[in-house]
Amino acid sequence: MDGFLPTFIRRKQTPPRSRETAFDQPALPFLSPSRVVIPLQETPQSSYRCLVKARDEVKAGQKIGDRGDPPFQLSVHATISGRVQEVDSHPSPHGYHVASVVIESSGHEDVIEKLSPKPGAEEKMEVLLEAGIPLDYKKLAGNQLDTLLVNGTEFEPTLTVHHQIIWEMASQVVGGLQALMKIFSIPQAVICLEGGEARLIRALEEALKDSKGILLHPVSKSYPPTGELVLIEKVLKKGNGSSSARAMGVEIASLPAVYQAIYQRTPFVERTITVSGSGVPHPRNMKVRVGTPFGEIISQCGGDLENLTQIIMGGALMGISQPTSQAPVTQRTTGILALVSLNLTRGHQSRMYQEGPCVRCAKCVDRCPVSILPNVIGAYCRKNRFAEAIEKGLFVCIDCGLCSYVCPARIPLGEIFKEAKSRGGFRGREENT
Amino acid sequence: MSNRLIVATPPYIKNGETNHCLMFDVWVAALPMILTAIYFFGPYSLVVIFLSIFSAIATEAVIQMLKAPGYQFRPFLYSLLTNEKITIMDGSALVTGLLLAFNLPPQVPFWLPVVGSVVAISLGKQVFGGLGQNIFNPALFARAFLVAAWPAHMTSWVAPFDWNRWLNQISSARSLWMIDAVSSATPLALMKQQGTATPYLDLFLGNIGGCLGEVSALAVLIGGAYLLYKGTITWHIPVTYLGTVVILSTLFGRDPLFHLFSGGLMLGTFFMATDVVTSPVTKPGRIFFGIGCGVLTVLIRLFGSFPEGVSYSILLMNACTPLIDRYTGGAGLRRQTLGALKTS
Repeated sequence: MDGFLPTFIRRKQTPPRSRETAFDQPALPFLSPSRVVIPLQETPQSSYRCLVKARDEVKAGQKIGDRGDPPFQLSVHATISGRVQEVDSHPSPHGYHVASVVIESSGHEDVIEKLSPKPGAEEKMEVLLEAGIPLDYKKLAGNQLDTLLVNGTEFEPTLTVHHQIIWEMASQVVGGLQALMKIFSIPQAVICLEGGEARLIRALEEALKDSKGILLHPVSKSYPPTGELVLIEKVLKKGNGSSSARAMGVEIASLPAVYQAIYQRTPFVERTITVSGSGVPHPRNMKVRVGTPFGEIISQCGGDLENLTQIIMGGALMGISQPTSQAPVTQRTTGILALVSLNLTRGHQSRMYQEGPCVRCAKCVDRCPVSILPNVIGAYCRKNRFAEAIEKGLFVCIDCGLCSYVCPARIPLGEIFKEAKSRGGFRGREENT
Repeated sequence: MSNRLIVATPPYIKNGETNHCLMFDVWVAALPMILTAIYFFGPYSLVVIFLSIFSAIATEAVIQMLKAPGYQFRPFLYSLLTNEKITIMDGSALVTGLLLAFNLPPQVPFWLPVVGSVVAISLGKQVFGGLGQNIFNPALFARAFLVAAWPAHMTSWVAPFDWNRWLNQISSARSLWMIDAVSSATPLALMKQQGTATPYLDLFLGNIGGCLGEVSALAVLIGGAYLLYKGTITWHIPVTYLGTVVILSTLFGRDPLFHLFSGGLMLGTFFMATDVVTSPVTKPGRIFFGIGCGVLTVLIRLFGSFPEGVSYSILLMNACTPLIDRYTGGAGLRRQTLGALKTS
């Protein structure tokens, strides 16, 4: 009867931040998985080169392949020492089956092999490519930019990984940002943070003491990682003398990696992620090797794989749910959400919680970070009128999921938009032209 | 892998709100107004409210039975409450009936709220396709209909109820519900016809003649504050509506406080104009809506032939809502187009 009787609870318009995975302790290292799956591709179409074959012995940090096309070809490194089990197609967390290298651990922990850049290329783009840091090099090297924007806000309610990185590695974040600005000769950078996070702002201010050109910009609410365009506009509106076309967002997790690649000569083989959800007894931030299967990390945190009903890469608002627990951590993975939930089928659900008619309450419109009308676009998509939906801004949508979160009629707007983007994209564009 | 993982699309969380919450929030907010209606107009106001709500729900159930293809009529309450095609449990008919009762004078004949509710649900809502599709606020639509059809009944106001006399003369069944009331006029009519002003305290507390729900500005303000707290309505329409009325009436040389607290302005602002279905969805649109309502209200009150203009002004602005939405929506889209122009 919840939802039927009037309650005096004031419903949240943005999801409340879970305090379980507080970032007041350093990330727990988990650096010795029994096996890793290292994807060589992002999508099944992208090109790659594999340098190892089955039964080869590899060392942690050894280059095992290339990803992408020259001139911006990224190196792929083995993240643990051991024997290559197979090179085959494996599920990636983005929902594809891609070519991956499976390495079985030799059991003992090795130090990561250092990069050996060509002389004279120590502080150039080649080092970053060789370290395998995924950045938009085409845009960075195009000499079109004058502002780098780092989104330090944490949009996902269940994750604290951005905050953890800033709190723990503030100097490396700043160092990596400065190195990027130097390499690509970009005059200024902006780091955005929630204004309420006083501890983080203090930590960053300390690290920023003797740096030039980096601004700290507190913002009032958090922005999703896909919404960098909105954030850039919001920040640059204050009159920093730049236009949004000449700014670019940088993922915060790649900044410590840049720092380590340039000053410590280590490739990007480990990153910080948040492990949380109802299926994990001890949710916390962890430092893991790239390629560790999700299942192993969840077991390490005390989760029981047999009881889980849902494994999600990312957070509860924008994550991708996984069909298998064997999907590996990639360099872009921000967190794992393991859920044990009682999922009721439609027949057993209370009628209150089933989808109802849109009553135009405008909560989705008020919450939308890109100021489109989700209710109107959703209605068009439901009727397969994709041309109108695109005209109303279907492709402006950044899939943040807030409209579904607040919708009292329980219309799955996020799902509708995702489906419409893939299904109606081509058709609508053809009709438009 | 022994267990099977569920694959779904994000987001995986919801804030737990339902359409029912929105509707029943209005009920909670209306409680002080129901109490003041009973206090000032006697037990008969309860009869009016009950008849109005009951006939609204019955009309909705009957229409949805007729609309559902192949619905076999089973005269059990259980089948009425659980059938998928009959949505009387979503609370929207309850709210429409209640708001219609708030718009009626206290001593109307018993069939007037019944007719009003039937019109509100059938012609005001279900004709357009049910919940979420109607252009006009159903309760105000029915009120306009009743005013046009039975103007004598809809403009016979009475003075506040005399509880002492009622206690002394409970003898027959009829006198349990109503006593012979002293007829009186609303403060706005008094102002328009005779130029006499009513004391502010009476206006604020509700010791005046008027419709059931509109007499006490205090009760409406309490309810409105609850709605604002729950987030069912936003501040845009109330603030702009009341602000426009205050500014315009001051400009025309009238008493702004009198116009603020008299008539149905408070009720209309917090419960009618903010009706989610018939108000614009964008924030700038809501501001335009509130300003438009305020301008029309003041114009009708000061220069029209009716003493009161809140209901007509809201109905007129409801008709403009699709247009307002069309021209204020899509700020993100305009921004994207501008960005594309800048880049090229």
